[in-house]
Amino acid sequence: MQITETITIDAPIERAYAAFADLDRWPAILPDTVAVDVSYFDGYNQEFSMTVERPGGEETVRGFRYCRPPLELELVQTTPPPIMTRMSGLWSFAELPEGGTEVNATRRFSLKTPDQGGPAVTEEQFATTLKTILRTNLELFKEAVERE
Amino acid sequence: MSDVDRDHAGAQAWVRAPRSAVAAVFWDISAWHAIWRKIDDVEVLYDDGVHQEFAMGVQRDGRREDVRTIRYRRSDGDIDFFSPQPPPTMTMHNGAWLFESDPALPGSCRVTAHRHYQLIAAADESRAEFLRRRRNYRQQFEERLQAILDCFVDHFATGRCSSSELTV
Repeated sequence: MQITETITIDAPIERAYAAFADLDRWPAILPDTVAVDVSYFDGYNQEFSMTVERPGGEETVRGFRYCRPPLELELVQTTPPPIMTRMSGLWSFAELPEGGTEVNATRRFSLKTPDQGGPAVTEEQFATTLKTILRTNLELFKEAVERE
Repeated sequence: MSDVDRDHAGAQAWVRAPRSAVAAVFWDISAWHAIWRKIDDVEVLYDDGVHQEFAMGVQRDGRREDVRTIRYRRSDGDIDFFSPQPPPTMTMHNGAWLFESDPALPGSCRVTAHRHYQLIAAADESRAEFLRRRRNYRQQFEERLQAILDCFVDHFATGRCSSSELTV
């Protein structure tokens, strides 16, 4: 299942990209992000873990990103949220002719079945929830970048 | 140590098999130990067909080295990778396996190996000594890469490997 959300940020592409690229800034931008640890970064390849608050308690995901400034950040979670079997994604950044930056966020995911510990909803239903979360997060990044 | 201390090693070989078949075997890291005999063991930690993470124990200079590597398979089959746990002699290690077919040589594929890495300088090593060691290491690293590629050449030609005993 794939979902996409798009937002326009009133800032140059480099600033928009930098906010998403710098994981150390995430806890200050996203209120549900408790902790971030970047264990490897060579300027392009990045390995990280991230702990977030969820209704059932804290969840820690682990994965890596490919950082292609200022155009793309590609993500895969080798340890996705516990209700999922797969989670990957992409942020792409494009300069707008009238100024500002369009940020496009895509997520691909697969849910565990209920007997594997997955939610009692279909992937289509869960996609609606995930789109809302993704939208909220993009709006929080927009606020943070435009406030700088 | 700065970026100027990063080194590059490379090697190249022609394999008698179609590009897609060669790229598929290079991606199948679990099958490598039957081709490159320096590998003690491999554990695939994650593989979704595009992204792959594995831990590998490999013999180098008569000793076991444990590395953890993450690989990315591009849509054309080329493979990029980096090692968040590099060989113990290095602070960083990444690279690529590139596959190229040539219409003049149907059924064959040119494989190019690229490695970017940074060796750790010893505390009591002078700059001149470090530079000399880097030159030697690069030469041995390229010989090792060539030996790996030659094993794949043999694998596709005969189904066996004739790797020589290299020190790196």
